[in-house]
Formats: sequence, C-alpha cells, structure tokens
Amino acid sequence: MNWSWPWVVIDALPGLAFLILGQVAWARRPGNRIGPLMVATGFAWFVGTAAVAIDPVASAIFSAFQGYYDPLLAWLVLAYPTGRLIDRRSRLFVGTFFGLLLARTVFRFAVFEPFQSYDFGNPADIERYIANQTIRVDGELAFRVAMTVLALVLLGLVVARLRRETNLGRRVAAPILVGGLAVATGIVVELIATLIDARSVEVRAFLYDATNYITSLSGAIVAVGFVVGLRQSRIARGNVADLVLELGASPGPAQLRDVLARALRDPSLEVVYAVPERGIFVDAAGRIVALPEGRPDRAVTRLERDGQAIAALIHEPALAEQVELVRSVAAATRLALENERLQAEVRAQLEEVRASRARIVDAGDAERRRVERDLHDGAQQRLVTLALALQMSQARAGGAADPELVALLSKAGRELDLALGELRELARGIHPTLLAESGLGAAIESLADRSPVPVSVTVGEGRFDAGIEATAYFVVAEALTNVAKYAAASKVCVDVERRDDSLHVRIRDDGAGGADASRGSGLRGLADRVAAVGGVLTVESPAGGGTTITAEIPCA
Amino acid sequence: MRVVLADDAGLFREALATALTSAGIEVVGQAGDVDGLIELVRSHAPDLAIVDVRMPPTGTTEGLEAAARIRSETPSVAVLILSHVVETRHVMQLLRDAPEGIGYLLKDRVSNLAEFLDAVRRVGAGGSVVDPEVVARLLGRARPHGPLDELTPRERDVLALVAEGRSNLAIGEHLGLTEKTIEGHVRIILSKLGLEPSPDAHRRVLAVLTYLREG
Repeated sequence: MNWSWPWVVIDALPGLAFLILGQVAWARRPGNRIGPLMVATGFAWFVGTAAVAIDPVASAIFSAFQGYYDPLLAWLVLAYPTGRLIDRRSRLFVGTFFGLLLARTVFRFAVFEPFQSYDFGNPADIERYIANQTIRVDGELAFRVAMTVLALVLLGLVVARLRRETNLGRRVAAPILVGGLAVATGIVVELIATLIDARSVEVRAFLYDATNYITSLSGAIVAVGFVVGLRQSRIARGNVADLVLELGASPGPAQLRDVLARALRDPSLEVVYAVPERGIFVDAAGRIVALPEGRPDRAVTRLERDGQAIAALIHEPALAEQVELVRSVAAATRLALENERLQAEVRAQLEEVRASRARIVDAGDAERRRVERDLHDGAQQRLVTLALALQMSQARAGGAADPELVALLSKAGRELDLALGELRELARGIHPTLLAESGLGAAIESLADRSPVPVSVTVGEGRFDAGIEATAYFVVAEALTNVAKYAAASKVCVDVERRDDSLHVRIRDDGAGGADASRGSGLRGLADRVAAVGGVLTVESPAGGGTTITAEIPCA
Repeated sequence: MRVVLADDAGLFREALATALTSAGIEVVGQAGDVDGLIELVRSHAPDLAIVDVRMPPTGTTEGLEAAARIRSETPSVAVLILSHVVETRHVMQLLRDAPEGIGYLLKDRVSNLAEFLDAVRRVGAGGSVVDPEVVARLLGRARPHGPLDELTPRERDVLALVAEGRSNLAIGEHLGLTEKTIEGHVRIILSKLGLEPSPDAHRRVLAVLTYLREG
C-alpha cells in the first residue's frame, strides 16, 4: 500500500467523519441509534487501518477483525433514518453479514501465520505450511465471493426500499443510495482485484488503490449525508410550530386531517379517534373504524395522553420510520386532536343512539307482526272452529222441542260473530296482514277503502324492507285518520313513489289546514317514527289551504 | 257434489268436513298444504276445492297461488277461497283470472252454516261468490258525488246482491220480490251506472265490482 501523506489523510477521512459526525448525531438525537451506529462504524474503519501494523501479531489480530465496517455501514443504510431495522428481510440481511464476518475472523485466527508455529527444518511442517497457504487463499476467495453476493443483495434491498418509500425526500434518500453503492462497489472491485491477482501486479495495485479511494471518499460523503439527512427530519419537526398556527383556534375535522397529511407528507393519512370506554376507534363522522394492524401497506401510530389512547394515525409504512416526527406533529396538534376526538365520540354516540332507535322500532314491528299472526293462527282459528261446532249443534237442536235452547244457541252464534269481527279488526290494528302479504299498494288501498273521505291512491310497484313499508304505512294511516278527524276535507290524494334512494310518501288534502306538527302526539309520533328509520317528515298546513304531509324515507 | 279441503289448521278442517258431510256434500280429500291440495285435485277431479288463503310455508297467500294453479290446470274444478281479512285487491284478481266457478269468502262465514253451504253449492255449480263484507266495503267507500248517489236504497240492496254473485232469482227470493222485478231493477241500475247489460252472470259481477272499486 502506498503510504504517502495524502493517502494517510484520505484513509483517515471516513473513520474520522463517522466518529465525529456520529458523536454530533448522537448528541443531537440521543434517542436515535444512528449516532452510536456511526461511531461504531468509525471504530470499525480504523480496525482496518490498524491491520497494516508493523508487529506481525498485532497486524494479524487486526486483520482478523478487519471488514466489520461493511456490515455496520449496511446496517446504517438499511436502518436510516430511525436507526431501527423495520422489516425482517433487512434484519436477516444484517445478521447474515455479521455472521459471515465472524466466520472470517475465526477462519483467520485458524490459518494466519502468527497463530501457527512452523519448524521449517521439519519437512512435515513445510508440507503443513504449504497446505495452510492454499486453504488460506481459497478461503479468502470464498469469503470475497460470499461478500460480493451480500453486496448485490444489499443493492437490491436499497433499491426496493427507495421504490417503496417514495416520500423519504431526496436528502434522506441520497445517503442511503450512496452508502449502499459504496459498500457494494468496494466489495465488488476487491473481488475483481483478487480474481485477476496473478495476471498483472500493476493492474492489481491500481485496482486496490482505486478501491481504497472509492471506499474512503464515499464513506466520508455518506457520513456527512447521514447527518444532513437527519437534520432534514429536524427541519420537518421545526415546521410543527407552524402547524399549530395553521390550525388556528378550532379547525374542522377535514382541515385537521389535511394539515397533518401535509406536515407528514402522506396524502393517504387518516385520523381516527379513540372512544376509550368502548375500546374502539371511530372516524370524524363517528363511524367505527378497524385499525389496519398487521397489514403491510398501512401502519398505525397510536397517540396517547396520560397512558390513554386519544387517537391514532393510519399512514404509509414509510412514516413509521419517522416515529419522532409523527409524535411531535401529534403533540403539537394534541389540543385540536382532543377536541376532535370529543366531537367524534359524540357523533359515535349519536350514531349508536340512532341505530338503537331503529332497532327498537324494528323490534316493535316484529313483535306486532308476531302478535297479529298469533291472533290469526290461534284465536281466530279456534273461534271459527267453535262457530262451526255451534252451527252443527244448532242444526241438531233445531229438531228438538226446546225453543229456548234454539234461541240460546243462536244468540251465542251472534255473539261469536261479533267476537270474530272484533278480533279481525283488532289484529288489523296491531299490524296489517296485507302489508306483509301484498305490499304497500294493497295495504294503502285497504286504508283508503275504509276512509270516510274519498281517497285517490297512487302507489308505485316494488317491495321494500319491512321496517320501511311499515313506516310508510303508518304515516298514511295516521294522516288519513287526521284528515277524517280534523280536516273537513272533500278529498285526499296519497302518492307513494320511489325516487332514487328514498321512498316519498305524500298525503295531501283540501281541508282546513292549520295542523301543527309540534302539537298533538299523532304527528309528533309520526315524525319520531320516520326519523327512527333515518327519514324526514314535513307538514305543510297553512290555515285554509289544506294539509300536505310528506315523508322521505331512505330505502337504498 | 264432491269437494276437497285445504287448510293447515287440522281442527278446523275436520270440523268443516263434518259440517259439509252432514249437509250431504261429499268430502273426498283433505290437505294441509299446497302440494297435497294439487295432488288431491289431480287424483280426485272434484267439483270444488275449498282453500284457505294462508298455508305453509310462509303462511301468507299460498292459497291464492294454489287457486290460480288449479284454475289454469283443471278449469273444471271450482275454487272457494277462505280468507281471514277483508280485502278487495285479491278478489278482483281472482275474478279477472277466472270469472266463473270462483268464490272468495271470509272464514268467519262458516258461523252461518246455511249461508256458507249455499255459497259452497253456488261456486260448486260454477257460479261466482263474493263475500258480503267485501261488497259492503266497496259499496261503502267514500267517493265524490256520482251515479251511485242516484240509486234508491232498494237499488243499492240489489246492487250489493248482484256484486255478491247472486242470480236474479236468488236476489228475488232474498228480498221477497219476483225475478221479473229484480230484472227491472238491475236494468235500471246498470243504465244509471253506465254499464252494459250482460246476460252472463259472471261478467255482471266483474263489471259491477270493477265499477265499485275504480269508479
């Protein structure tokens, strides 16, 4: 090796750069492993330099521990900028790299001269020496080849990572790429130099020098790049202060998400809020959201206060490497987040109340249907059978001479008739059989048949959910009852029509008007019933101008 | 007359069979569901099938579908539907599809056995029968002032009986009048309502019911 002055400086450059800049990074970001890793890389570099020591034993020892710089640099490259190896592939890779170097260290201790004693007067020892030399050359070549393979894998990992994490930013990405290239080029060129060993001493010397220059200079550049790149994420952290200003006093949920997405440079960012007592997360609208845990394409950062989750950010996995940035952004927006979380919680509760109201109404309907069926299938069947039996008895008694018995039986028959009629009306009032059997059209026509005010009915075809049909039916039934009671109308029009995703029910009369939805439990109850299925009831009733009741019931 | 019965309530079915038998009507088979009924109709070729509207599996309108099948597969078999609700839409549908040999009665009608047996015989003989309560519902419907208001009370009575599917002779007996008198009433009623006089009794029922329902 050429030990000219410039070379000494150049050789020392990367080692010093890693040692010094590593300290700087360590001091600035104590929680980040990049600093200590860089320092270790610097030390590893000087182990290589020390391998040229004059003392043969010292030189051999340092030689055995030479080359750990490469896996350390590979580690840095893959773990940058957080200092953590996030995926299994890169952990496996770095582990393998260290394993290989460890094997080489053991190998070198085994075959290097100072650790062997030879008696060159003894022919057996000369044999042993020659054999050892062959093993040594072959072994070294094998290690070189293995390391070259690892170097190419490293390049593959680096490229894959840069392609996957497109939002790292150039200043963060550059040292990763250059570092990866530096490690790989150094190793590959060294292999080439070893392979052409025998051919030309001059070419070999040139290649070794070239390798050394490339590794040294690129090492120094990478060290600088790491520190500059780390500053980059510091700058992003500095922007957090501006975030708070941007958010203003009370941002809307969309604004909060947008600002966070911009600050973290992740347009796909989602913000979800914790509802601690139910152990769930909801979106800004209060809908329950399942956190995408264990998914390769999304990552989750939970934000906590006093050990209790307040929110979670769902973002690109690349952002997971910038945990500190995400946390500081979250900290800066905590007030807004907390505010938003409370609102989301209220919305979630509202959503729950809405759902439970709809369930209560559904359960009520189902119960009414059941009672109606039971009346028809049970009581009505039995009464009808009883009526038949009574008729038969009457026919028999007709021949007997007891006129009182005949009169009694026929009186019982009439009572039974009335009971049957009342039972039928009772069942119909509980739930109209026709509605379930034949739909809104038939059921509303049946209502119209009974109305004392002439009704014209227009009902579109098609069936809907039982709850929707029942709601529409009860709106019409109650409205027609009101018309009969109060409106003094001469005619009523009932229109039921599906428009897009909702069922429009309109009952219009030409009566006195002046109905007030806020007074009287009938209309109030109707409005509640319609609202329970997510619909809206409107009442237009100018004095003297007739009444129009409209229900819009979602039926998508 | 030979009839088959279809109703999923066994107790009622048995009672009805007993009542029919003691009135001299031969019950040749009973079924609890639609398939059994169709099977009976095919194997016994009865004059009449008495069918409950509600039958398994859903217990809604299986009886009506069975009636439609029987009328299209074996038109010689008359069908009397027993319903548990007063309803006009199904009645119209039945009459339009098969204007003769069809009847629609409320199940409660069995509480007046004489009237019920009369209806059974009329349908079995190929007549049309519509439950008086269904007719009353149609006739009593609120409607804007129109030709119906021109009818005398007696004419309304006659109209109702016509709509129930009775012949002039039967209406006359019912009201204690001669067939000739009823004929005269019917002619006047039809002309007041603007309906064509029809010698076919079934067409007359359908025309009157349609008028009442849609007029």
